[in-house]
Amino acid sequence: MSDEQRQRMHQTMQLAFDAPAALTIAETDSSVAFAWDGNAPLVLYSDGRRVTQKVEGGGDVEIKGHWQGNDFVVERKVSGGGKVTEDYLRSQDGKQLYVIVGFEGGRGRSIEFRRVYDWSCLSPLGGSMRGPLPRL
Amino acid sequence: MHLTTAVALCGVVALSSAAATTSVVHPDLSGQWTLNAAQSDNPRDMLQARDSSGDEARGAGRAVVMVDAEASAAGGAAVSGVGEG
Repeated sequence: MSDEQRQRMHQTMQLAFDAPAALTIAETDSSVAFAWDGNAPLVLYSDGRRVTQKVEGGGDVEIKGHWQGNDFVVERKVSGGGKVTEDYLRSQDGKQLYVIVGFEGGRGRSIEFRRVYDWSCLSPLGGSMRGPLPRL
Repeated sequence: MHLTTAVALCGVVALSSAAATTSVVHPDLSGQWTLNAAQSDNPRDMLQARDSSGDEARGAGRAVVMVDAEASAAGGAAVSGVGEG
C-alpha cells in the first residue's frame, strides 16, 4: 500500500469514526440536509444525485443519498480510499435517531457499528415540523 | 349524466387514487439531534477489544475486525478483517 493510499484510507476512517456531537437534519420532499457541529449544511437529494466535496490535501469525497424503505442511506466514497455508509433511521417513538455506520476499507476490511442520537428540538434549518414535543 | 362522461370521471378518479397510493411517504428525520454516547458503539473500542481477544474469527453477526499494524503506524487505528462474521 502506497503512502497516498494509506493516507486516503486514514481519511476514510476519520469520516467513519469521528462522531459529530450534534447533528441537525432538515428534510424536504426531494432532499435531506445535514449540518454537523455548526458546519455548512450538506444537502443530499433523495434521487441519488452525487455531490462532490473537495478536500484540501486529501482525496475528494463523493457523497450520495437515497431512501431505502424507512432509512435514509448516505454513501461517502473517498477517491483512492474506502467507503463509508450511514443508515439513518428514526425510532418508533421519534425520540431517537439510529445511525448504522459501515466502513469498507477494501480488500475485505470492514466494520459496522451504531450511533444513537437523542432528539433535542426542531430543526432551525427548516424542513418538516414533525416530531415529539421538546422536553422541558 | 352521459355514460361517456361518467366513464371519464371514473377514469380520473381511478388514476388519482392510483397516483395517491404509489406516492411514497418517508419518515421525518428533521430536528436537532445530540449524540448519546452511552448508547452508541465506540468503534475504536471495538477494534481494541477484538484485537486483544486475538480471535478475529469470532464475530457476533457483525463485522469481524482486527487492527492493521501497518496502517496503524501511519497515524491511527486501522481496520482489517472480514465482514459478516
